[in-house]
Amino acid sequence: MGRSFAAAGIVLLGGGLFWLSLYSWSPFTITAADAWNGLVHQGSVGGNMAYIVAQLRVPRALCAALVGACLGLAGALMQGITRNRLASPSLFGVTAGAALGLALFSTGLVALPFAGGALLMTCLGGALAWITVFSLGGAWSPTTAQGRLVLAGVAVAALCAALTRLTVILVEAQAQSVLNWLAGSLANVGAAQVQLLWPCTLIGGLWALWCAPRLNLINLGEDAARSLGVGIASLRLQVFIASLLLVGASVCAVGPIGFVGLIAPNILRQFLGNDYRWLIPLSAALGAVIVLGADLLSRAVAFPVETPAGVVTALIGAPFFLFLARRAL
Amino acid sequence: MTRPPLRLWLLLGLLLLATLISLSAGTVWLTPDTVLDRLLAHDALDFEVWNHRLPRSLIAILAGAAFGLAGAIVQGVIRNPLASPEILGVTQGAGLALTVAIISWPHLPIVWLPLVACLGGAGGALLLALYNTGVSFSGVRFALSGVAIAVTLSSVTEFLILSHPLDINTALLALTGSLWSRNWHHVALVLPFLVLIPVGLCLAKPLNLIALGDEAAHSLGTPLSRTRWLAMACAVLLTSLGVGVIGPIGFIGLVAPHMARRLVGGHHQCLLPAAMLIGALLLVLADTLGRTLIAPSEIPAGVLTAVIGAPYFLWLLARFKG
Repeated sequence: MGRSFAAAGIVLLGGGLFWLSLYSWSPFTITAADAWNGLVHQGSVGGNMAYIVAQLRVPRALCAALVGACLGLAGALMQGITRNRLASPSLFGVTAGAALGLALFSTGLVALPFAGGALLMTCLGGALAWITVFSLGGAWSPTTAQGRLVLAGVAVAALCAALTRLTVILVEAQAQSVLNWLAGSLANVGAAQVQLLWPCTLIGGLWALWCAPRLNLINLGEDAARSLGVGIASLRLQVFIASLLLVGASVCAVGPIGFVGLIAPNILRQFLGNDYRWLIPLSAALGAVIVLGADLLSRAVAFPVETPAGVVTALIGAPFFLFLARRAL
Repeated sequence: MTRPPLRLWLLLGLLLLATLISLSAGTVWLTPDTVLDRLLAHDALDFEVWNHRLPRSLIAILAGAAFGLAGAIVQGVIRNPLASPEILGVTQGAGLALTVAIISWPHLPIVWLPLVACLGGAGGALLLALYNTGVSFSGVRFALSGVAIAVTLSSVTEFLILSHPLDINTALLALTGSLWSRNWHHVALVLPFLVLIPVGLCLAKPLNLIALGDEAAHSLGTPLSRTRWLAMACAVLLTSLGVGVIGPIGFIGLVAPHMARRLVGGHHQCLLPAAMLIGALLLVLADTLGRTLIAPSEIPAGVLTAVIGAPYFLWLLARFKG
């Protein structure tokens, strides 16, 4: 009962935020009627404002929801496989690694002349960061303190951030635009980003759902899971690939947006317990709610100037991390 | 006991050499002879060496030494090899205070910035102390809580910077962690180091005793809590002042004491000066590389220290048991 209520609540909230973000805090005055025309008739009825909604607002809101879903899923997967409540793409340096990959690609230092090159580079960057963090942080050894992985992750993130800045400085020096991008902004997304995101979210999401029952078993302890027939190594590999795809796609579309993967699963745990069959789909939904909300806030705080959404999620997420770090240890 | 002092002299020699290189290197390369001639002449019209490169090098030496010394003091007091000012929230606290000051009072004279930074740095350290009261102490936990506070403070800083795009350039200049455009006015701001650094060096003896363990130190007559407060205050001031003048430079306070320990051992009378010299050496080299690699544009020194320092930290973490 409680679970269904939680699910319904999150979906309603997400729908409400989606609708609000179609017409709120826009430099032009857009009415709810314009938003309706833009959403339902793709802007063919209702004039310029409805056209703006159809061309800019709808893709933007979709993008926010998809990115949030990707990050929420990746966070839940990582927390499941490491049994570490602080696990998340940003604290493990995966987001920063992916951003470095994208910076190398978009500045032309690494040229991959085929479609999907950007996605490949973000996934590679994320994979490198992940492997470094897990091998140096002693991820799979049963005796290590949980905080160690996060320390390794933060150091890798600092390294990747410095390398990203270095790349950017070497190629161009336009502080404002690059800073906005590095902070994860939804200001310039369009249909192309939605095209990139939805297949990745779908594949990653289904894959994560398929892993969920085995993550529940891992939660009992690795020995118990092994004796119940879970192939630990194969599960780790699957989680690794699925979360890389999810994080890579989100970074590729809008830049690094931090802490969503940390917040969403941990809030849900309070209500749902540790059942990953519920935790994974609802993390996706709550992640979408968080990014939609952050995007709305990012337009509202310094209206009409936009603050990148990634900064807003960090502003909410970092104190949350502070709170969790005290409880988790 | 003869070898460590010898190595200290060697480090000093290296630092002088690095400074000489940093004075000759740049968009226009000068021979060491020319540099020495111009230094001796100290002509106020000599733009390159006297007005541009010398103040930069002086600031780099003093600030690097301060970061290294602060790191060694913090690691000595906390007895934790993963501790350093930038993961205690001091650096980020100072950065946040600077951002707030620059955004709220755009015409604040630069003389005030180090003071503001010191307040912020002390605030960050107090936050960490409050956060860790009432839980039992462990190395990784302490480092993790420091990281959490650092991340929180820097997220607020980033939010402020990006939501005030009009003031962004001034704030960025102060927060990049670079020696770009620092001149003789800034040298005046780092002069308090000349008092703080000797105070820090005087802590060597009590730090040696603290290294023996709390009980041993207490029974040997060290006033433990007073020493700790004095040492931490000293480290906070050293770091924040540096951040106030050249912005946050990561990883020097972490890496320099470790290198120093490998070179001269754990005896603080040698360790503290060695950490200072290595810190200064690292920052001078980072600054020189930063302005020669892609001259005439510059790579901020903070970026280069992170590129060197972060892998070193990872290596430490991989070896650290506990």
